[in-house]
Amino acid sequence: MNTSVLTSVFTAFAPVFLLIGAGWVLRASNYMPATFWSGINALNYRVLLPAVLFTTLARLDVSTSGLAATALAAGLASLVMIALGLGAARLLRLAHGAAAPLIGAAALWNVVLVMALSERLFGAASAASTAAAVGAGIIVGTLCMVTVFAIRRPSGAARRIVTDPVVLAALAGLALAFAGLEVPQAVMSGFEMAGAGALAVILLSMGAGLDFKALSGRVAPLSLAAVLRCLISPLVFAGLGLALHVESAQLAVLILAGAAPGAAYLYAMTAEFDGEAGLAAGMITLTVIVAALVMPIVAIIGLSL
Amino acid sequence: MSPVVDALIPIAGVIALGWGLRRSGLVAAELWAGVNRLAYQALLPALLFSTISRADYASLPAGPFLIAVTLGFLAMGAIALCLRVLPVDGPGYTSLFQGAVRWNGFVLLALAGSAFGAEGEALAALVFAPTVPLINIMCVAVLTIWGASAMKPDARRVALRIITNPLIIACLAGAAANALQLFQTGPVADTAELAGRAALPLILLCVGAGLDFTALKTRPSLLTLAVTLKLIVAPLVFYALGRMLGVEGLALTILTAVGATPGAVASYVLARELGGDARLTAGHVTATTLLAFLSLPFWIAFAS
Repeated sequence: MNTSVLTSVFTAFAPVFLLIGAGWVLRASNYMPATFWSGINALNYRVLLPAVLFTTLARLDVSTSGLAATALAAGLASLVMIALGLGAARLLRLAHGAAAPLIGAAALWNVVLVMALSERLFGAASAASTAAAVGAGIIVGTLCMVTVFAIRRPSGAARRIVTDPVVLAALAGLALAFAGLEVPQAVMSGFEMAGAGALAVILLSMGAGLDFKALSGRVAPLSLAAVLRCLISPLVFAGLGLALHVESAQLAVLILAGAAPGAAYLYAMTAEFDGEAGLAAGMITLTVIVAALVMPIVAIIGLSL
Repeated sequence: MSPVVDALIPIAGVIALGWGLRRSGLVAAELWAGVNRLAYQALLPALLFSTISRADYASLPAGPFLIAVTLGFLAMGAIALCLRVLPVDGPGYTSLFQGAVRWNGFVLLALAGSAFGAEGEALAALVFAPTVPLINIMCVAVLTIWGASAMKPDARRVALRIITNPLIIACLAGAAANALQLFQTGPVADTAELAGRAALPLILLCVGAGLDFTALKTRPSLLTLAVTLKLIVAPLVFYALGRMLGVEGLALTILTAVGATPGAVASYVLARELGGDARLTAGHVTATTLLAFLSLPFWIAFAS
């Protein structure tokens, strides 16, 4: 292994995880106390993340070779991970409150972190494959989660799908890409500008949401979530990628996505479906810590593919 | 289309988006306090640090430019003080004063980067260092004398607030890093750059969320006077001072544009805290923000 790979991995990871750390410091030092973050989180989830997804997916050139295989692998991997999450919850005989965040942690990966890292690691050329993996992951992951929860707790799940801004934005972006429609640049530039701020703000609020107290107790569901999310998931993504003959550059993006920590909106979704929000916070925190160790290794493997 | 108009279109779009989010309740009014704080107290300092620490000031006329900017704000303060002779109540007058001297750097920073390149951005970022303390001291003094609040600001608290202002600290740290050639590359620089990229979009959203069209109807004559001071008198004063001090080219354009930027949301916070006419200030910020889309391209074309 040469040092230039190590350097580029460090250069890519350091600022991303420093921003997460900065978010935690802002909140823990009370410079920006916890109450301030609810508005930022609402903005992230309802505006900034949808804006990024919409602009990224709307510009996707769907004729790029290999994109379909990447998207299919990411979508199938989400299904496999949900099944594994369900199985693990049954094996541990978890009640619904603890099972909901575990299934979510297994299947929902942090797309923002992957977008930020993938651009820094693999350059702008990786944008299309990242978008394909992210789009498939978000849409398949969220829809399956909502379906699973709806079967377990049928309360307002259909409304949840129809009004989820992240899924809606991803679908709208994809629809434009497939229809080959051009959004007028004047409209697009506004969304692009709003989206430009999204990555940093979402990383900061991820940090602000870290909750180390939530790590005490509940060893079994917490460690199982971390193992599923950070160790098994990259293997599932890699396996499906290889089985579907995904090209090496796109395979690198795919396994990076597989190794990402739990999505921040796992917390909101768990609360919405009567799961234990505290446990979800602990799972996100633990997977961020484990991912900080595992993702660089995955990135080194990805860069040497 | 001119690059200035091109650059203004997304700016207007993001401001409109912020307004729509607040109006529709998608991001309700009370949720914006946190967004404001993150944007102005964490992300904007990161942007200023990142821009100033890496700019090449050797090739820029930074000295005369900064002197002209500082004198410009002092001159606007003096003009506003002369207007105390008008028959206006104290709180109303403080809003007139704040309207005349405060500037909102966001539009300029957003514009400078896309319409004038790295040099324009570097110059615009510099303005914050001398002017943030100066403008704060002037406004707090005027509000203390003529504001309606019984609460008098404690001089030590005001001083502390200025010394610990994150914008000033970021400018000074950026200048130090620039001089010592530290943190210009590497993880710290990359982190500041990444965070700084989010500053302008978030500030523009906040500006939009803060627009208050009903406040436009309050005290029409006083509002008109305050808007005239900000959008017509101030850019002329800044331009004239620049010419007198031999500021030319891009620096003169940026200087005039500093004068032509709309009013700042910070004046609204201060007006509420120290007994100014907060409603008049809200109307001023709203009116100048909207009209700046006409006045800024005009003054930039005039000065270049």
